[in-house]
Amino acid sequence: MDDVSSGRGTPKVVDLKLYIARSTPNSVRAEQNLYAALDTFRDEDIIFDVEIVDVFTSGKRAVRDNVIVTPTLIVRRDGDKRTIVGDLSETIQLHAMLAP
Amino acid sequence: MTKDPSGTSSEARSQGPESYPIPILKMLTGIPGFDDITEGGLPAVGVTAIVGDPGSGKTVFALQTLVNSFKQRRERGVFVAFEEPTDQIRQNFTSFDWGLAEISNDDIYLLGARLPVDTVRGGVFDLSGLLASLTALITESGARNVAFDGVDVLLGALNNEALERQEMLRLGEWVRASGVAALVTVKSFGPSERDARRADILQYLSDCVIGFQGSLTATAFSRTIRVMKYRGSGFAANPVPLVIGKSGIEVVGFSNTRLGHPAFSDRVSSGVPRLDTMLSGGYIRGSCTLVSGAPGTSKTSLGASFLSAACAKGQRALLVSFDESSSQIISNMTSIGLNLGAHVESGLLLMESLVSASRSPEEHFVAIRKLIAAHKPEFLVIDPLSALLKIKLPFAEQVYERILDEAKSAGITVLCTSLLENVGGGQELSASHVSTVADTWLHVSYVPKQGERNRALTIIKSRGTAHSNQVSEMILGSGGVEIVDVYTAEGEVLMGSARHQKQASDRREHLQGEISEKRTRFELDKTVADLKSLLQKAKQDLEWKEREVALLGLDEKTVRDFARTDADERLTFRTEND
Repeated sequence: MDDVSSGRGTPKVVDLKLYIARSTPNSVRAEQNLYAALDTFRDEDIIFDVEIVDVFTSGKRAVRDNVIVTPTLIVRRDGDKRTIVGDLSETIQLHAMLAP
Repeated sequence: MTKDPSGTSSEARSQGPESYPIPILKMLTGIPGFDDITEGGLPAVGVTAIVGDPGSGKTVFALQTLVNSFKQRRERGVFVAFEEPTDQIRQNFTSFDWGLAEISNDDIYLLGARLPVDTVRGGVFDLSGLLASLTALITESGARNVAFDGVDVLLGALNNEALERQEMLRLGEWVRASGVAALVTVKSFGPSERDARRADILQYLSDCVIGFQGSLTATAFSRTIRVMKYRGSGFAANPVPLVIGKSGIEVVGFSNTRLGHPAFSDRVSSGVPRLDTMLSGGYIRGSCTLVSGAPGTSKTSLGASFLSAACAKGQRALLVSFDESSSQIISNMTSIGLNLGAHVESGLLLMESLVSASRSPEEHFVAIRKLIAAHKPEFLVIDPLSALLKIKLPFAEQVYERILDEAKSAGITVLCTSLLENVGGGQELSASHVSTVADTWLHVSYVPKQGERNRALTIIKSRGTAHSNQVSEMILGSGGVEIVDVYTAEGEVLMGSARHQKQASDRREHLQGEISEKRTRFELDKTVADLKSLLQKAKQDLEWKEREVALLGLDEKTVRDFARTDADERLTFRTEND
């Protein structure tokens, strides 16, 4: 895995927020699927800043962020915001979302 | 977070009657009429499904319930909008007079629950996120009522029937655990098998199911509401019309038609003196009079005469017209000497023209009730009431009765006209339901004869009144409506110029009769006089004859006496000479 400071320019930072509902099956699967996908990008010069938000403990935040269903993954990069909902089992969709 | 459904705040919400086998806690919706058909409102805890066609009023119903609950009981609410953006909802609903603008977002929280348009579906999702958010919200605000508007829109995105069902059940479970009243609106189910299964699930998880339906005719749109299911509660199961107006939904129930109207025995003038006489003094106060007849038979004139007489005595009156504009009626009535305009100016008479085609009967009912409440009339004319039937929407007949019922219970004396299309043949009615409601029924018909149409007035019935069974002729003149007795001759009823003509010819015949009678008498008199004079002459002759006879008698005696005297003398003479 390349070091961030390997000199190939400033690495892109992708902000990922995964809203889950504690340990419901969909949420557990989503978390697993997300990390599996991120793993495939390990050679890319991208920094994924991942935050897992449990709506059961941060309900007000989910309201504020307009999260309706769980799991919801919000992907932010370069001021662009995209939303993908579901357990992220559809890897093609997920990869398209994460790819640079 | 959970709330105890039997907590004090829940009990305070319950207003339902006590007689149900399983008493359930109810919350008044504050929607006029609806709390009557549900015997106290919706379940205070649990799911109420609101199923209906697009535009049938589901969303209005849900939001109105939240608003009323807040305004009447200070219960906060959350409105979860799956279908429309929240700012659009807020904007749509500020058009109602609910003062929504003054209600803060904390009191009724509008929660936007549409997935962003560019959302990518990357697998199976569930409602846990939303429900967790809601839990956080209601814990903080203490909201008791939650509306889920168009949840089927979101669940449809799952594209999976089993998952859809699972999420509906999740929602139901959350509602019960949270101890809130949930109003869940969904679109009507189609005939497909999938929709049938959807309906089953909704039935299963709902404590109460309310159906909304819209029906469209060529000229108007009518909405109905129906309680399809209510666990542990009685309810009126028939579809009932509802009206959406400035104040939101109003349910126009018919089940609670009262019979205990105030009863009066005094009479009010019909405005036509001769008619008052025929009805032993006029219409009974608080009664309903039906004037039926073909177009142009001056039904309106009878109504206007009635109101004009009332206003002249300083009483308040209301004229609702479905056919003509108020100014048109005023000018028409001027021609028969009724100055309605003056009564309008004095504020005693309120004239309202409702165009019948553009509204449903129940909307008219609500409009008329508002007018009655605002103007407080003692006298009411609806011209013509049959306009409501013409719309050919369901409930027209019930609305009929309901309007009259409303007026009667307010002690208002009503006259309504009814147009009858079948002019010819002397047919006298088909609108039987109106006639049973009416206490007095006047029928005006045209009697065509010899190039003329004359107006004939019949009192078909008049409850509690001795009345004339005679057909009378109605005449419109510059002095108003006048009623004259018809002319009956040789078993025929005559009116107009036929009456006039017949009367004249009869007069002539009568005169001729008189003359010939006189002549006969004269001739008789003459004969008598002749005979008398004959008698006189005979008497005279007799007298003469008698005298003659008498004279004759005298002569004979004289002669005989003379002869005797002569003989005596002769004898004497002879003797003297012997």
